[in-house]
Amino acid sequence: MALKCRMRLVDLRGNMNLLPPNLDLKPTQRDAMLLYLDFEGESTQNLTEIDALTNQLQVSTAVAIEIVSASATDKNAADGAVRSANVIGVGSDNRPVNNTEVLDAADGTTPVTTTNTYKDVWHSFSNLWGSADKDAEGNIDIRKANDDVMSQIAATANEGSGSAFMLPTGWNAYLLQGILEAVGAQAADEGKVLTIKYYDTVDALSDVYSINYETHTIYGAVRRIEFKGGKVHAAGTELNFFIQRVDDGNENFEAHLVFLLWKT
Amino acid sequence: MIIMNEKDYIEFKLKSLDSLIENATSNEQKEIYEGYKKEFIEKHGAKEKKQCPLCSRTLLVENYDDHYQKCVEKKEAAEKKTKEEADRVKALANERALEEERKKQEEIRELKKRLAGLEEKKAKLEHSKQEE
Repeated sequence: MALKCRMRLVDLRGNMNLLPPNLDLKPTQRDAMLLYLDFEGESTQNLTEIDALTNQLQVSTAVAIEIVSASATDKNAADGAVRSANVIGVGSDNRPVNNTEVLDAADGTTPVTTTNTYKDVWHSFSNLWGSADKDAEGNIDIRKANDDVMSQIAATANEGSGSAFMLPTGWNAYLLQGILEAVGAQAADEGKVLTIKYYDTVDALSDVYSINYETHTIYGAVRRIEFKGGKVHAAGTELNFFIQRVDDGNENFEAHLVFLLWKT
Repeated sequence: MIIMNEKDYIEFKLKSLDSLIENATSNEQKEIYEGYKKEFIEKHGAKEKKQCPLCSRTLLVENYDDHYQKCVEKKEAAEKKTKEEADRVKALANERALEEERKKQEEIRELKKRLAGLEEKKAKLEHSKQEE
């Protein structure tokens, strides 16, 4: 089973009562969001990033991107299959955003340049369908204007790729809750390790990063663990998620992470 | 993946990238789009084209400079020829006007001469009438 990530961004403006009661955010910190990451798949011998983007955007000035499908049937029409996708990314004002990007109305294979502009793209998923089908007919690409694919919703699926995210300027994050659990059998000598890596830029020009990480392990009879974040992550930190098995058999797992993002 | 044929697709994309560059809201954004265009061209082995402002022909960028130079020379030569022709026509018209003026003056001189002859004849007649 391929490694997959489901990402959802929930804007809490006006819904601060959705926050866990133990979080005492000050009134000036009322611009907050929840970022849900749900992982599933098969842990393998090598440390593998979960459902990574093919390319990252990460530009300092927001730019238009493109949406295009490999199938003409994906189109923004009542008789189409997938009509549009929700893109999770960072807008021109550094705010994490959910934007709907619409496919061409006549033929999904015609690239559509978005009117929304982005500084970063984290993930995508289908969010509107016509009568032709309820999942993608062709691979739907969220890509840069130079045709470099960033997030792809594979044909027959609805969830696009992308699990990592870089905190935009002015935004912090904290891991509210994490769960790692085994799916199916887990023998006494089997287990999985979920690694969260934090990349902090030291010198972007010479490509020097400080990499910190935390690991969470299930093993043998310990089939499920829950954990919380150890630190507040500041703007500029990129969080990446990896999985690895601790024995010699590939095994399935699930992980669920909830991050609180707030404007400083 | 793209149903459009390769040639149409490249044309479509280059137009779209040119539009992004033209409508960029900052120099930084423009630079990013120009970088994208360069990468797209490299990736697709596409030949970038440019339109000559003088004759409106679309040419490959690598041939553009030579063509433009030739086009400028051609235009200058055409302008020079037009100017020479205009000067020649003007000179001819001047010459014609001068010739007509000269002819007119000669006619006036001739008429004056004839008039003087007639007046002399008249005077002689009057004189001989008086003698009679």
